[in-house]
Amino acid sequence: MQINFKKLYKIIGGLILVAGILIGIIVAQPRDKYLDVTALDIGQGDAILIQTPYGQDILIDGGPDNKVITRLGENMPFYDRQIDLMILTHPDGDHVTGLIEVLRRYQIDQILYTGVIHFSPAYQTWLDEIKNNQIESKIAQAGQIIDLGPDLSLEILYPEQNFNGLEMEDCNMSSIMAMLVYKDVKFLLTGDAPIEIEEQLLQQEVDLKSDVLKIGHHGSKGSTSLEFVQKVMPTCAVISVGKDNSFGHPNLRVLSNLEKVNAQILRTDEMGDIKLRSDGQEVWVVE
Amino acid sequence: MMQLTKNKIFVLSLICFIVGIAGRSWIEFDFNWLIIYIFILTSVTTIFLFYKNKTVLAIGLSILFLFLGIARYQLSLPKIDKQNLAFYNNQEVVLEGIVCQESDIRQSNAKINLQVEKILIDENWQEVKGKVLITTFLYPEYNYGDRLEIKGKLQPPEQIEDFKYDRYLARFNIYSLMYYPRIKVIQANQGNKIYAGILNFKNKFKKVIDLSLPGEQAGIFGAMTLGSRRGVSENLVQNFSLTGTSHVMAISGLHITIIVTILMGLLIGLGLKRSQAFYGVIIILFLYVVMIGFPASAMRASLMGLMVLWAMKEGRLNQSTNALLIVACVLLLINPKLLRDDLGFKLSFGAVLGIILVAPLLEKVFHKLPETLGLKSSITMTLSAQVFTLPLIVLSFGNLSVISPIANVLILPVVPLIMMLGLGASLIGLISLKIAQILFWPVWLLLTYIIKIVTWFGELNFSSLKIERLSDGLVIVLYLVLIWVIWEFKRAKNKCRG
Repeated sequence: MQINFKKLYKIIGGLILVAGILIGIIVAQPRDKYLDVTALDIGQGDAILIQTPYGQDILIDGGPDNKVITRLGENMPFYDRQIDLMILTHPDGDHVTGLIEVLRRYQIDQILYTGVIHFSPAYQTWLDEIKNNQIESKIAQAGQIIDLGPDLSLEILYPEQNFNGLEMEDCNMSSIMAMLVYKDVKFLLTGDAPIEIEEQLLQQEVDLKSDVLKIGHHGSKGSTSLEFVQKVMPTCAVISVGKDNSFGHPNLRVLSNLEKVNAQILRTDEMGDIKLRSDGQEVWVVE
Repeated sequence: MMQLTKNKIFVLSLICFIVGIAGRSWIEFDFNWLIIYIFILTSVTTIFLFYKNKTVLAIGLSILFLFLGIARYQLSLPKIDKQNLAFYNNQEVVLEGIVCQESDIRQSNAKINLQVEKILIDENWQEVKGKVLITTFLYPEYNYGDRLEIKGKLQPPEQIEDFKYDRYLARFNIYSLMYYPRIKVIQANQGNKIYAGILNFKNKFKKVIDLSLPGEQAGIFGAMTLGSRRGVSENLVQNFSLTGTSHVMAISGLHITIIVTILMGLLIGLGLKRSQAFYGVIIILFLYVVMIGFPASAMRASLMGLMVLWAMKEGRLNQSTNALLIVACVLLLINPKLLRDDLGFKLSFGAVLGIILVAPLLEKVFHKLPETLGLKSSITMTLSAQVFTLPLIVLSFGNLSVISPIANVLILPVVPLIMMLGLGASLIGLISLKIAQILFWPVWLLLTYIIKIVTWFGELNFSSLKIERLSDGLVIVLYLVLIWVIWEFKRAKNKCRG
């Protein structure tokens, strides 16, 4: 095998040039004014990527294993190595595990979590990694409004109280619930919140009306009561659920509740990544 | 009659050694040590008495090496007694040992190789030897050198469908498994300090890659350069296998051969003499293998790469079969189980043998092709390597990738570019991550090109044909025919010339 080195240098130089031009084009491109919310297909667990029209990336939960890395790679531009906000709704393994590897591969600017005490190794590793990298972290509490732009914000609806340093019997009871509001469009993101939390919010008469509902607890029977769904009245319901999972998720009653309000059901086990795009007036599914 | 030259007797002896190992591997019959001893002794005596008679010498040496091969294989089999861990298979046990390798982190679990030292029997610690492969959760993480106490059920490896998992593990001397045991860390950093340092450096390297490339791209590049397949999705792995390009994701002989040839050219280009460049490459290659932590596959690949390089340096690619034979014998002497149970071993030898034997013939066929982008050499190299690996691949996987030659020709030319640009960027990344991240952009482009090709070809429904599994015997016959054809072809050519 003979290698012509003059030619090789030319090829390498050419490649760098091509890549440079390519990147110039990408960077110079004005970002379109769309909000993308993607339920990543990571099997049985949760991981949601929010890409705002103002260029921020927000990752909510990371799924049960390292699949999220592949999914992020496919959904984020290759040159983007930074995530503005990482939210952990609660420390269960199917939400926290993938986030550890994300912490190791991306630059994370800020963390939002509940601060509950939990002794699972994955959660402990996650906390250690945050500490070692000295990432700024905040405790989530209802009433917080994360301002993402002139007409875009993420509002925390639950937990009502500060859970920092508390030990919970049922971890799901600490799950962060949030509403993403972009002009006229609302996304309700529920984490693994059980019916008790739903009832609490109904009692407090929080305005829950949303266009998109991320179904709580992967469609288990412990979440998504009919009363709750009727209050939310989503046109679109997203269920993050693994194929043939051992829990039998999603529950039939949950599905029938959603049918009763005529919500379009989107499932990650059937569709893979579910990317919802919004211009602030409407929401549609991006194929 | 054929002349029995020294060279021929030497080759015959080596072949007999391999045949001995092969025979004992496939025919599971416990030879009596006394018989082996007698045969070895008789042949040695005969050799001493009649070394002047070439025929007797040849026969004596053949028998000697045949039995040495048998003996070597037999010695590699474990003696299952109370001091051996496998003795306790199918029992609930408490063990103590040291993590003897870097953990293998998969997408959803981790595999840990534990060198066991003690076992708890009736509340007493007793010495025991053996390795156990532990499957555990991703977190907490365990590192090389951690002293662990584990409690769980020891299980013997078993065949999984068509995959002979037990044999696959036996070649690493693993005869016991444990799934999700209770693990307690007793002490950290109990391993070899130098090796721990090397792994540490390797991890820094890997960190640069992970921080610079997206998931799949980082996974492939990591596999190509560091030999860790962490983070490549199952779907993509399958597409690589369907398109017959899996070797791209391994530190294969072909791979190292490419690197070595490029390095050689580079050093010569820098003004070194050919022989100086050769030793320069050896040193660089050695440092590289050290850096990635001495994986057996990379060591083998390096030996193969060096061999091809040596043959090129000497300008006798045709006669390097002898050197190949020596390398094979050395590797088999170290681990005789490779021959039957390590597909990688067989494939890399097949590939190199193909390059040695077939490439010179194919070069004549393709001499009209342009040399642009290394097109001609990559076509001849790929095809020659494939001629010799095809029967093995069909035998092992039961599918024949129809588009493999096309996929390979499209992919292989960019592999050396990726390796050079990527390794360069990684080295710079150890100093400045920000600069490296930008330098990785063209690498990303090329890796994405490979992923697109592989995914696109892999999803064509005619990309691979299901083929009846071939029997071992048929494969051997195929290879004999193949060698005979090449032989005839060469003789015909020589006649023309003469």
